[in-house]
Amino acid sequence: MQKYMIITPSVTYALKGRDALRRRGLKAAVERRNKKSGGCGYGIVTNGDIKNIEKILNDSAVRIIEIIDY
Amino acid sequence: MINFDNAATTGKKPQSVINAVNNALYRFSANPGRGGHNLSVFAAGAVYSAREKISRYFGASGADNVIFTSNCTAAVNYVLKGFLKPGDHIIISDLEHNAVVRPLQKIDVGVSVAKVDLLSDDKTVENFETLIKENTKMIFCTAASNVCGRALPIKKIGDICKKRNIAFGVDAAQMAGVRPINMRDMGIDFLCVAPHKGLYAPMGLGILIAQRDIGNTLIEGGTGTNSISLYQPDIMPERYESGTINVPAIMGAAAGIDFVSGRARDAYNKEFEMVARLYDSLDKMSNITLYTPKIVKNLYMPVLSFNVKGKTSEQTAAYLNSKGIAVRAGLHCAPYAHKKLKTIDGGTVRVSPSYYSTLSEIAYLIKILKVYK
Repeated sequence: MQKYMIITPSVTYALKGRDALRRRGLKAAVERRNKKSGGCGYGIVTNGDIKNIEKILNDSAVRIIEIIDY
Repeated sequence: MINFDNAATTGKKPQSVINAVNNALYRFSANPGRGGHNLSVFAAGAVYSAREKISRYFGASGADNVIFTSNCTAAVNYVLKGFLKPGDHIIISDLEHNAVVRPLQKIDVGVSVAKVDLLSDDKTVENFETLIKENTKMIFCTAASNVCGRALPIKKIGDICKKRNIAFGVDAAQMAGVRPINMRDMGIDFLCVAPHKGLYAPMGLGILIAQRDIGNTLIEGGTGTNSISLYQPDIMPERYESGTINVPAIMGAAAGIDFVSGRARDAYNKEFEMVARLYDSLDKMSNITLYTPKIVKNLYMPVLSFNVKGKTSEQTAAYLNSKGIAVRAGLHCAPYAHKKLKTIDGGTVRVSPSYYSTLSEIAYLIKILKVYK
């Protein structure tokens, strides 16, 4: 199953999103984004149907900056 | 030492709070939301859990509405200076602490002061409502006086604010943890909390819960988010949390909420009984002056002011200190309240028990005061 890192604007949003996904039975963990520039950033590492993941996060008012294949 | 100065800072802390602070220092002394290593992520998770617990306890919308500040005064400053614009009008009460009064002297806004009736909630609410103008943007008031303990009718004032589309801010320094506060039910937009008082947490932490946009920031700096940008982020709570937050104190506050939700759930009844008994005894003593009508449950918090005739408040406090009793004398950083009580010249002696105080300690205080001339 494809794994994703959902980049959020802050660690607070990442943790909020992680909990929202876990409440729906999905595996999710918070990790710091590994990138070359742009400064700090955190993401939620998860897998599953990306449309469903996006919907859960949107319903929980978790802002998504970017979705990257992990 | 018998500590009756708990309205300033609760003296004795629960072991669970001490353990939580120790645990934070021992297990995750790391900056939450900054590094990518396990300690930092673990600390961030613990802080997030604390935000959730605080949000639930005060009936707020969610963890991201909970902002950690350096103390309750800072939280009040963030709201007043961030939300109000030049030319706005605000209504406060005549029992406000300098945490509210002084910031308003620094900003170019119109201020009206509503009289709090010492016994009637309806009259108090009416006094607020009659001061509302077209440009009134906010009512900001204390939940309870730190001098005389009078609790304001927060829900009724919140209802007016909702009806008139005015923001409502509350300084809950004296009430949070002692009496239930539900922001949603009471219509509170901004709640400022002093966790080192009624939540039995360490000093050096304030909580601001914002249910609506605060606006401008007072402090800018590193937030652990989008560091390449030279501008403060717009996301909550990081927008208002530049710099390292006080993780051990936050863990203490979370443990404090467990304490006041559990073992100390009836703290108000216990403390009120002590203060009511003290009031009744002092009322019968010819050498004592009291400044409020007989205190009524739910209208008053467990805080009582008095003076000994012929003595300054400082002399009485020093005498009590020599007898092993800690109280607070003077103006209590609340000149409005002392003007109202006509004690602005010398202040009062304030007694404020905590959950850990006992009726036998109150009896000892009464015994000492009976013979103090």
